[in-house]
Amino acid sequence: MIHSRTTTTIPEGMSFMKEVFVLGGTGFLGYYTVKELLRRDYKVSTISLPPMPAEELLPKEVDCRLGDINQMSDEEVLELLKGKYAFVYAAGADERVVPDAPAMKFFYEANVLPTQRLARIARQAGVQKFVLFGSYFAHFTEVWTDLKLKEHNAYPRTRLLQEEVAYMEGEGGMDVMTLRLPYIFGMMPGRQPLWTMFVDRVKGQEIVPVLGGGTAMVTGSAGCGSCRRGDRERQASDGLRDRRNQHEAQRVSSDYCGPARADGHQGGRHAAGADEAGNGKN
Amino acid sequence: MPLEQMKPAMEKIDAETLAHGKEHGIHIADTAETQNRDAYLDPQDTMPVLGYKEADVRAEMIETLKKCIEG
Repeated sequence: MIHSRTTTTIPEGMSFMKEVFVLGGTGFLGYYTVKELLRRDYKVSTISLPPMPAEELLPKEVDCRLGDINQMSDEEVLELLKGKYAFVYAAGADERVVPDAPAMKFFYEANVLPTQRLARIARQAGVQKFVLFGSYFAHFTEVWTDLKLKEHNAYPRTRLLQEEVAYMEGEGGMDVMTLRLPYIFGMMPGRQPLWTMFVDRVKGQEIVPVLGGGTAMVTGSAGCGSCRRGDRERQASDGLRDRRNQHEAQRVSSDYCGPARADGHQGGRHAAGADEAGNGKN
Repeated sequence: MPLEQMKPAMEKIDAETLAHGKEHGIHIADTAETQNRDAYLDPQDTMPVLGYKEADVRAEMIETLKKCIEG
């Protein structure tokens, strides 16, 4: 097999395998992303926090390492990313975490700073596509301006900032895409669904108060499509470019996901009192 | 249930959480505001661009919740 970043002519019958690095490949979203990337003939490597959720979770062809990328030096990360075509950022903290106050400090340090650093190093390493798994709360924070969600809420504010720093780090040298993911359902080996904590809250209750709104819901993961479409259908992706001439794909799921029928996709009602379940991240 | 009936309890939770030195990334009272709205998205905004396909979300939800209950 001929790997990425070569100008060598590819013999007929051989595939050209681009290499994608997935941060958090053993988490829920990362796991499905890795599977989808393999299905589309990408070569995949990943680093995830230990422990491994299940033996042989990922196929042997995946270069899977356990560790904390935030503890690695810039030089180590640079070496890790050399030759990679794309970086999928499927890690970080979501709003299920209730940190010590102020929450702004926690989410800034957990999501914004690592994203900025890794996007910067990815660009230095020559990565062409940087895909950030974000939250649809970023979208609704921009849409529902009357709620002023950014003023008091660390999670949507830092999600927006996380996107912004990634765009800036990629400016002029690396396409940056954000997938603003809604509620996600699905299962994977070795992990209980993230919804368990919410199901436990309503177990045995005769009445569960529910507010009047609803939410988008999908299954599985996203990201691979961004790498591929940005590559093959530049013209289509251009429709999603933001003012900084970078790609911003919002409201996304994947081949596994299914904003399928309108009735199935958008019929969810929130159970009052439950935290936002967010992105199903590791 | 109307938001007005639920929001005071949510604000109380936020105050209690803060009193314990913790803070939600989205305050519970603000979460209630968002849950009182339709956070719907049009899949057609991105399906043609990213190339993902339809799937049976409802069935996946049921299977996921079953797993949550059964462990």
